[in-house]
Amino acid sequence: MTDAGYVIAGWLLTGVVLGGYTATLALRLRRARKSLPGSGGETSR
Amino acid sequence: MSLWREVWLVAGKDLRIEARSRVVLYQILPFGALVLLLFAFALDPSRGLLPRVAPGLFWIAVLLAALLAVSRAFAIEQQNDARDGLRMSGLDSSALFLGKFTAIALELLVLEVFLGVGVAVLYDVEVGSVAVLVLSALAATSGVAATGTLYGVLAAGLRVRETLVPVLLLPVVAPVMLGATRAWEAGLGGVASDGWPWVGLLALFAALYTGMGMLAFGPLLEES
Amino acid sequence: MRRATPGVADGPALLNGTLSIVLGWTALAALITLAILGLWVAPPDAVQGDAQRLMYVHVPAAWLAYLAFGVTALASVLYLWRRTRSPVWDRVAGASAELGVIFTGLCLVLGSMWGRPVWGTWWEWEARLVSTAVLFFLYVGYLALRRIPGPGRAKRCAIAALIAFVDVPIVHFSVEWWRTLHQQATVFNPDLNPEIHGTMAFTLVFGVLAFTLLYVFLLDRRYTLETLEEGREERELEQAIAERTGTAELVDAGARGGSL
Repeated sequence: MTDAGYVIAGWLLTGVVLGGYTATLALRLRRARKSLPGSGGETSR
Repeated sequence: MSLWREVWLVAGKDLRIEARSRVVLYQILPFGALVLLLFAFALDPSRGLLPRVAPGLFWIAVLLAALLAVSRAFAIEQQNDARDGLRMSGLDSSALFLGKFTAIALELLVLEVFLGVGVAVLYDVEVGSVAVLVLSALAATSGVAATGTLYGVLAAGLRVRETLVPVLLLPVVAPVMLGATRAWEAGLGGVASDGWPWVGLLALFAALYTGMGMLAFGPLLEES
Repeated sequence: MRRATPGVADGPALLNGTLSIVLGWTALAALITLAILGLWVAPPDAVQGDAQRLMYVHVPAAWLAYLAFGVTALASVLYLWRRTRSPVWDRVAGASAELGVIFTGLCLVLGSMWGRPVWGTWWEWEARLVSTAVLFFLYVGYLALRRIPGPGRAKRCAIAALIAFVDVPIVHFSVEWWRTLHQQATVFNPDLNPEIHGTMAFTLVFGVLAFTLLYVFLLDRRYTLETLEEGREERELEQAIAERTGTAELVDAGARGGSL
């Protein structure tokens, strides 16, 4: 693999990891908010 | 009661339990020796590698044995609500810490003597500076015992303590592993004077973690 | 419409809602800018060539790895100190640690990916990498401890964080000493932190800033999640207890052979 290959792979990995984590957080937050009482989501777990 | 009497009370209790149950002697020591043996299988003795890696292998064996010793030290407090007993004993929590620490350290030192002989015999090493070897071992053992006692009490009431303590303890004592191995490399046929700075580092680590242990043992025992 | 639950505001967070949103988008913009700077605008290194561009993500990740741990340690101190004791600090400590382990892992992998073209190996027993590897395991231990529930969790974790944090400089120093003493003839010449100037230096600093912005944003979000989940645990517990006591009343009435 050329140098450029490592560079692209590294940056892509960074994007995937950070973006993926941010997305996971957003999902977990949405699920947590839904289970708040009065938000109508208590049974949907 | 003075602090030292309290320390000796606690340490004495643990050592008496060991004297009667002989767990360190008949279970942990053989384990350490087996580790040394298995390393020889893993590394092919005929290549002349063993004398060079002996210091490191020795300290790994000691570290692994220490995990068991720490586990044992707090396992004995599991039964009969012994931890409640410690809490209500009125003993100073620093004394409790130092007592358990002393017992573990002494047990480890005994282990090290036996394993050290084992290494000298099995791995064919030459002894250079006994002073470096002994002082670094004392400092390293103190560091491991202090940190082990600290994490031992932290995990004492937890069901997962047997798998938790190793993953907490080993990274923290990495510098001890480093320093002790370098000191023993110097003391076993290396340049002895190279070892002294490492002895200093080991002593610093031991002092620091003993101090922290004395402070944190009480609060951790409360929560356990 | 959502009713406010006592004790749990809508998205209890560290930052004001608007600020958080602005921060998030700013962080994203900064990271995109970093990519443009690092992959295009900045010149290739004289010695390392294009591989050096990995430094623009590796170094910021390293910075955050240590910053996050510092935040965990500081929050732990604030939790343990009676005058400032508050569940806020416990949550901050936990949230920062989760972020920290991600940045540390990323730092290690990126360091390895940089090392392959530059050193020819995937790993070198070089002081900074080894110290960061130990840091990774310190984090892992803390997070394992954090997963154990119970009333004493906050105090346990806070003390554990401090025990580990105190170790970090010792690890760093001893590993550095070890590797400088053992500087055998290696192919390994290019330093992980060469002297750099101009656009490259600017990009590096910008990268650190961009990552820090992202960290603060994520810390706020993770903190919010922690608060919400704690609240849910509490409500689940209360509900279980209520169900228990409700059933007990029914049983009593039944035993008396009568009505409720």
